[in-house]
Amino acid sequence: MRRVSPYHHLAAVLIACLVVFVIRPQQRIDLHQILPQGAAAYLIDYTPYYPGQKELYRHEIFAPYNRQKKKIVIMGSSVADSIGCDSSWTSANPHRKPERNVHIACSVTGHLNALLEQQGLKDWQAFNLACDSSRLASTLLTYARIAELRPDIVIFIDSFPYAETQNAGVSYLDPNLYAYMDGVFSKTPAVAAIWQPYSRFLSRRGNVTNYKVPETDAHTDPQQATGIVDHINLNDILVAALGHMRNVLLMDTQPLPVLLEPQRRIWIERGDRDLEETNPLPDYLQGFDVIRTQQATHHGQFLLVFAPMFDQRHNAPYLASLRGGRYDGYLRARNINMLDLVSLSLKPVYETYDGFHQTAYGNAKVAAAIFNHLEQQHLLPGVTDVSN
Amino acid sequence: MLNRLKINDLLKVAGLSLAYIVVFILLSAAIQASQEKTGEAKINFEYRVF
Repeated sequence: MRRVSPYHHLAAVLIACLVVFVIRPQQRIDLHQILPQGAAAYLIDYTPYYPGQKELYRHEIFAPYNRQKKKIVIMGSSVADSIGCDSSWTSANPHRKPERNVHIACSVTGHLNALLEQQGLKDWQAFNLACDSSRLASTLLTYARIAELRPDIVIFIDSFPYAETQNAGVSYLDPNLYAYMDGVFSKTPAVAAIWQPYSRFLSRRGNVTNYKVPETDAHTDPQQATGIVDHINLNDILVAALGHMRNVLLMDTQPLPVLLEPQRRIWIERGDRDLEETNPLPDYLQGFDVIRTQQATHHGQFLLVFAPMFDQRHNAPYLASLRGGRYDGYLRARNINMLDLVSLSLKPVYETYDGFHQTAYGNAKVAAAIFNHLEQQHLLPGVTDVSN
Repeated sequence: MLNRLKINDLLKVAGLSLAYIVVFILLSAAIQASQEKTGEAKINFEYRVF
């Protein structure tokens, strides 16, 4: 037998290039039919961070391994999504790499998961679906997309009254998205009765100038985007397997040491706020009632948390309207479960770096307060107070 | 003799091609997998920060 010559190799490389890069059977042959149903869900690279509306299906709440978990969903704006371990999250520190010190363990969600584990509630998990600058309208869209997962507890954390500023972010929604939410919230008469007049109210508010529309394709059909791909090829399987191996080997980057910046004194510059002046009408708040009522359809809970606001903690008009004004009256009338953390004791710089965003340490306090509230409301089975 | 030689060559090229195809497919999948974002890069600054 003759040995293999360079010409054999050359011919083989040319043929292989033709097959792999031109004919591409590894990408063209659909293996969907021969794989078990739902196999595609195992090929997705899931993330604990909010991945954006376009890639929401990549969030770990959709992962097959979390299907049986009892779910606590954290929603809201940056006060809820402060995954940064320190101020570099909102103002990047160019002197270190990576510039932003962020890790899911530093968030309220991360600390809540640590408490759940500590209390032996291994079948419970908190998921972070909050998003920077998110308003009530865009949060409703996210909620509509996860409603079918029937979360046990939905927690909306608001840096009061941010949720409804800029018309609750209605410029984010377009007719397609209204139609999508209609499909979700009109299934049950009780929810439809609140949602339908509310959606008409929102859509009448029109577009708002000065509102930065997120880099999301708002015209993407969310149902389609949420749907797992139904075409699987060999390349998908290999990429998923190699990506998983890589994640296991490298793991996520560890957070940097927390950087505390005593020179940051932003909270002193802000004046007192008056809720009765800044709050337009409780009309916007019906969004909370939509979530509460939708949750009730599967015996789920809804909790509205007013986030700590260091600069307003002694503001009497603010606190009075929060605890007895129109805002509070509306929520109480609809039996919406509330937790007021505005005056939560936080150390400036160390626990809150700007007066309303918390460091990893402040987020731990917020998580403990939420955990204790859930425990006092008997929403978590057999747990003890974690105040100390 | 000529026919036998051609068959042998074809078999060698076919075998080598198969090996190269496997290597190229794995290589392209590895490159694609390495481009997937992990860790901090997964954070989505979809909106402006508050």
